[in-house]
Amino acid sequence: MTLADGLAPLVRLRELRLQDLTYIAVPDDAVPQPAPPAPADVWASPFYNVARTLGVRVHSLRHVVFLGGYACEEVCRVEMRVGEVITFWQAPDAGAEG
Amino acid sequence: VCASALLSWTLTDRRYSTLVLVGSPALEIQEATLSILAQAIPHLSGLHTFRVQDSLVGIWQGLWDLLSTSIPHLARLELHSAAWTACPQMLCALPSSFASVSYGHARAPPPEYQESMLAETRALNTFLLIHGARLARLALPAELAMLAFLRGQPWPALRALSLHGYPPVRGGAASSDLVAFLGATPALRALRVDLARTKTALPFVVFDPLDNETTVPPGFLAGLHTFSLTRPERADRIFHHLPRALHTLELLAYPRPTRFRTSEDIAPPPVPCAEMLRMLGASALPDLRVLRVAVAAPFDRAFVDGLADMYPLLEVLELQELRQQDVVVDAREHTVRPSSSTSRTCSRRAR
Repeated sequence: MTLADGLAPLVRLRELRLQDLTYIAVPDDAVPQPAPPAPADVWASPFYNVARTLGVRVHSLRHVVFLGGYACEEVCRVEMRVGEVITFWQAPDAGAEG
Repeated sequence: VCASALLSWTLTDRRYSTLVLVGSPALEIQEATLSILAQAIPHLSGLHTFRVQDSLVGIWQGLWDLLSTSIPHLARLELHSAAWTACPQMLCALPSSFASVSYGHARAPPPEYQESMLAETRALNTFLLIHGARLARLALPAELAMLAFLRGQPWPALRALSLHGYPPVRGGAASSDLVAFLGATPALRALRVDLARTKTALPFVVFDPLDNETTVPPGFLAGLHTFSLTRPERADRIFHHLPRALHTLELLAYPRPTRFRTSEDIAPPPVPCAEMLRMLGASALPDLRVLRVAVAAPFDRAFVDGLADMYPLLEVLELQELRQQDVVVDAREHTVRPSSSTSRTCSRRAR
């Protein structure tokens, strides 16, 4: 059972923001992953796998945002549509607080 | 001179809607700035928000005269300075159009704050008595807003109330004062209580569970659309009074996990998942669309299942997992060191 399974009933969920969640740090292999078309150090991130799986299971999901709490300098953001990752990038200040 | 020239050039764009003024300790710079503002502001027809973010004691009177006479369309005023308390009568001369005021401290209160608070409270009283009935938005330091002067006055136009800063220092009737105040806000749509960390771990509740005397009027918080509270307490009776139509609920950390903390600040233990579920379960919010919530590690699947059951129409969900001390900042050395082995693990895996 994965985070995606738990969120699947939320059929209107379009944005998911996760901060410091050790639960999702375990790579979710429920969905086969395609060959990474981007630099391996980014696409190999467990966050990418989790986000992609979420996109498959929660069809309404458009944004998965990993906030900066995973590490002081690490912020990842994934934008997707029905199970397909469109872009993946890092935004250093996306999770910053004053 | 360069700053003045830049400001003068910038203000030639008349489309500005918001003007933020940050103070300088140099009086000549303040006076030059005031001179430029006096020429430019009357032409800024779209200006509706004026924000003062620091003390501008040297030109405060001139600034106020300018606001009062030159910006009849001013709708929002944000003061992040205690300087105005020296002349509270200025607040009585605000343009009649303004509907919002935000007041707070840009920095932590000084040790002698207990003394100065009395003067600020007196000035704030005057201001609220004169303008309260037509205010649509109000942002105040919680340590002042808890006081009894907020009771007994109608707030028919108030749509957004934000209490920020430090927990109330006078305790006692603070909660009942706030509840009475909220009972006089029939148009209230957004309530935010965003308290800063403190050196004393004072528990804070919006609605004291031991308060058996305060009664809520019919329609209490009925129109509330957004409720945001830092460091929620399970015992808080406010969770029994949130309206079914609530759209946004934020129960985040105190202090927030990504804020730097000093070793002197006390961070109360985060709320465990099971307890958070019980807290949320006190309210029936079937229409909730946005939920931001922080819980203590370890995060578990049962929590997600519980959220999905309670809020089937959720569109935005933010989950934060907290430890007692995620990051500790040594204020003397300005160094950051992770104190959680889990955080370090996540950092490596994310790369």
